[in-house]
Amino acid sequence: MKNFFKLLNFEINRFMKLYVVLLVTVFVLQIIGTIIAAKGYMRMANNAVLQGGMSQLEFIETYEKFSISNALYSVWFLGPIAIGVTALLFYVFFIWYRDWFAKNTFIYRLLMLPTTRMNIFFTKATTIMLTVLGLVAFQIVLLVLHNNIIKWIVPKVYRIDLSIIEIANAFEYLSIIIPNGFAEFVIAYGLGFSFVVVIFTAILMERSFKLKGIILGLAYISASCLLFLSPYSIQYLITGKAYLYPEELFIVQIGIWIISVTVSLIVSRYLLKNKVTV
Amino acid sequence: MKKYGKLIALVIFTAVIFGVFYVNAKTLTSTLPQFSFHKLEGNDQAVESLVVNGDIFSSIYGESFQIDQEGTKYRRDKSFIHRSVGYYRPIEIERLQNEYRNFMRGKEEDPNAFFENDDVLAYGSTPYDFWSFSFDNFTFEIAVLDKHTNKTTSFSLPIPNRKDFWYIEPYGVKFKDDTLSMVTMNSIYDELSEEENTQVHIYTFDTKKKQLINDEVIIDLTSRNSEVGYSSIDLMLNDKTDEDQLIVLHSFTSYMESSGNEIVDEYTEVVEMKEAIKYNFETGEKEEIVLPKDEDIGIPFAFVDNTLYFAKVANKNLTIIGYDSDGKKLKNNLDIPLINKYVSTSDIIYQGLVKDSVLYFVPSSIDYDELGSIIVVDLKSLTLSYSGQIAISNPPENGEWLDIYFNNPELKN
Repeated sequence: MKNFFKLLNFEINRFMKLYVVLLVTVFVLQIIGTIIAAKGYMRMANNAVLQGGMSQLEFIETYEKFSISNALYSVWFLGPIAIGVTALLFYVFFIWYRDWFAKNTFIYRLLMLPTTRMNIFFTKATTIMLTVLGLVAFQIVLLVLHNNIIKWIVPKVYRIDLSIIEIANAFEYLSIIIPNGFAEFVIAYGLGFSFVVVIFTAILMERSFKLKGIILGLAYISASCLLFLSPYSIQYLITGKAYLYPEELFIVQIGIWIISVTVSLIVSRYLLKNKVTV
Repeated sequence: MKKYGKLIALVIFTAVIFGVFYVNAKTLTSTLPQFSFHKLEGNDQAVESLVVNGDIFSSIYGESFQIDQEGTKYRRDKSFIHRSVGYYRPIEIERLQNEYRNFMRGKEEDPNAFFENDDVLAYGSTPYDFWSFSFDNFTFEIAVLDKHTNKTTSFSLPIPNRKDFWYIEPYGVKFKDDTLSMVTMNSIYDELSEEENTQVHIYTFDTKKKQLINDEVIIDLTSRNSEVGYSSIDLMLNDKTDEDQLIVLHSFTSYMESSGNEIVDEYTEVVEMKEAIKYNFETGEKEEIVLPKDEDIGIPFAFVDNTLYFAKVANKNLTIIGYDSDGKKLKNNLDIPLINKYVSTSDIIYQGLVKDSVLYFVPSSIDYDELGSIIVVDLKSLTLSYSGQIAISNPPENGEWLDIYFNNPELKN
């Protein structure tokens, strides 16, 4: 356990500089976007009311009140989220390949450490999950900041105030990364964990068998996806009838998740112990 | 410890933010509007079992909810398993699934597809086959559970002449002495002539021999929608009587300009009953119901103990009239003041529930400035058991718009 935390700390520290740059990028771009949206709305309101002779009520009836949705649907907001997702998705692969292809073949030292090799696997998976969750938590904090910036710029008469919970629930793409309820959160990120584990297994297949490993890895990912989707596909697409009740389907899905993760860990353990070459 | 600082900071930050977020997430529905039954007159017991389903939409959110005497419950507060279904299942279906778990597997979630008495639970449907690219593959699905022996008889049979019909919709099931009868409305639409042919069929099955033994057409109507109005056929299975009967109603709805009455929309609909047929499942007899001529009594919505009940909405009143189909005479009538301005006569069909000779009517509303009436009428005595309103508390503070829709009322088990 001690070795696990040492390695985990090492992985986090390695990534921390890039991670902070990513967080700062998201912060700066989103805040700029909110300020632009809010100030743009107020410019329009002031032009219409102070110079155009419209009453405030008329302006609101024509243009609706300002809410955080005016900022959330802009590229200034969605862009950084896309950048964050892409960066972390890239890091799922980079976290391994860096150890082989960077200046020093660091993987040699990692594999020679006096600890079980699966610790390397688990620390990398934990690093990915922690950084993803950290980015999402950071986004939640940013939503609070966006709300406050809007309150500073847009007077109450022109705005609709939403709580963070309402914002997270109202916007579809936000509700994907910030699920509605705690049960949905556990399921979503549990799925995310199984995705990371399956990808890592495919990477280790490639590192073990080179070109054949790429084909094997892709086949493994496909098989895992098919296995995971099978209960719903069989029930709703193939038979078209709900033979399993929702709670039963959920239990089957949990079982498949456990099988998928367990098989991936067993295969990865085997590959790390016997097949991975430096 | 210092060298683990970044890791610890990341873990604590993440855990705290998500912890606070999900603790607060549970309180979301307390910020949403809350609805309750507000009695104007009558007996609270009349709405003891009433459940009103609804949806609320604003510029920010859309939520589904149920209201009963205890108050409002939003679907998001239900368990994860309930939420994963994506919608409220009919209460009757949930009861059947709880009580007859194995029998209900793979069955359509339509209460009209089931018949239940003390001895059997019967099912008849024509489920949609996603993979079927030919009408020939559509089938009847029949199943009967003997409650005493717990044995299930089930079978599928091809639908005769299915390819002739564009659409077959089941409307109800009856079962007696190993014979299952399924009522369907079959439609054919001719794109060239723009005519629609609608037939009401009674398909009769011998559940012991697993055979279709009869296919009877009760009514065959060809119609075409026009600028003036449209024809329609409505079906009514009688509510609790010794004899199982089906009422088939053919009407024509005309669009008429408003008489200047501020309450109604620019165009009103006037329904003219063309014919009504009573079909007895046991004897197979068809009998035409002679309807009152030249009397604007509205549209029929229930058939109880040989009495056909009509409803019409005019001058902010709902009038219910009983018509004795055997004696061919109007019986009594009941006038009920309505609170909603937007109720139309046809709302009684879509927003009304008749169960055990009691009408539960909750018309849908347009916005929160005017919420729904709740009307409960004992049809046999034609007396008002309950009149009330759906009251709202906790409306949005910022004055934004809300669209609220009350869907079909249901009764708790």
